[in-house]
Amino acid sequence: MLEILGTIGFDYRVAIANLVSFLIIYFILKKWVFGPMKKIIDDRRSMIQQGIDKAQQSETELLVAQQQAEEALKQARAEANGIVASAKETADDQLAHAKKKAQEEADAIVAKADVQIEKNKTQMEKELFEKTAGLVAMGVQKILEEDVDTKRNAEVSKRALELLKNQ
Amino acid sequence: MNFFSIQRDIPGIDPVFLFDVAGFPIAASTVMIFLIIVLFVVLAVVVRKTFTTIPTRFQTVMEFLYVGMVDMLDEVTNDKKRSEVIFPVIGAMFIYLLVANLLGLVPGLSEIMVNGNQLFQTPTGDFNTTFGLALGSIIVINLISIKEWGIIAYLEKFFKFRDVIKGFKKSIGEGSISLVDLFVGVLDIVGEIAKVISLSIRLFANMYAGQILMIILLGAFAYILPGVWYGMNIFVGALQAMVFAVLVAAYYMLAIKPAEEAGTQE
Repeated sequence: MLEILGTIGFDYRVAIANLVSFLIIYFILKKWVFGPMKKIIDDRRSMIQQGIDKAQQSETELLVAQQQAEEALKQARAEANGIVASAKETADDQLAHAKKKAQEEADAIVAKADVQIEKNKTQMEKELFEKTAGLVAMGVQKILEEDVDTKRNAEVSKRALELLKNQ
Repeated sequence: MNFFSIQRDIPGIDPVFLFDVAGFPIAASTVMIFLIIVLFVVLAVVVRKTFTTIPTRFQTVMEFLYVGMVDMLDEVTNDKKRSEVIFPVIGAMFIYLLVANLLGLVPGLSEIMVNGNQLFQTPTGDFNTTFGLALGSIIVINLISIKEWGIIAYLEKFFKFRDVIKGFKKSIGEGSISLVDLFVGVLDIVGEIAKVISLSIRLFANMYAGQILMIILLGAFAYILPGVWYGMNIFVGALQAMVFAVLVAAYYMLAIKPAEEAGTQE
């Protein structure tokens, strides 16, 4: 076998030397070339993966935040609607109350005015009656052209008043 | 003086010994391997000093080659964990053979002479380099196989006595068939030796023949024609490096337990 291999230049010493040399190359490449390159590639892949994960996480967080915002907006809108409704109700109440009060006040003023009017009317009626009675007495005196004394004047006036009253 | 041809001696098939170190002969192919070691040391320094997470152009090219090799190995093994385990060996083998094959094509390198001999000889143009590498690979693969299966199961792959006994216990017919299996098992030992021979001779013959053809072509016509062959040699050099590495990976996969049995497949 060795003889056959010898025909194509086999020499175990060179074979061993070259194999050992390859082992040195293997050691150098494994330790200082493949190792660092694998680490760098793995680190980069890990960085990219982290970036993708972060982006996905951010996307998820954004969606959650959007949902929360929408929910908060919805809640705020509901609260605002409640507040508006409540304010409207209060305003209506206050308006009704004010209207009622105003009506009462107006009624009171009207009543007071009525009393005053009645009072004035009575006063005016009294004054009118007295003046009318005087005028009647003067008229009667003129008509009768008789000289009546004060006592008689008073009687006539009284009678005239009674007549007026009866009429 | 002929301007249209370059006459050179066709190199012999035997290794060219240049000098002795402590009684150990150093061949021209070994000197070339030393040069390759220096190149790889420089590469290692560059990788350690300049390679960062944000790559330069050179780093991008190197990483492209690295990832390409890993992917190629993944296709052979079809098992990422196995690929990670054997990548340093297969990757180192591929790069070493690629550089060794291509370095021999660098103009002027083969013209450096020492005592009338070439100082640098393409390592793969020396049978000892390819043989040493192939033998080392097959030995390591068999050691891994022993570790994986256990020594008894490993030996049973070659000596199937248990199958013969089982066969004869069942029937004479099955026993006779199992004798064939026993013979085939013994043939597998020859197969292991054949792997070493085929791996080493395939690479050596391709590279050596390439060199000889180049010298013949240069001797016939120094222009254009050798250039075409030069380009072809670059292709053949890369292809042979890949074939060698892929075959070793394939032999490794044949020697170990299947992925589903070992529970490693991803």
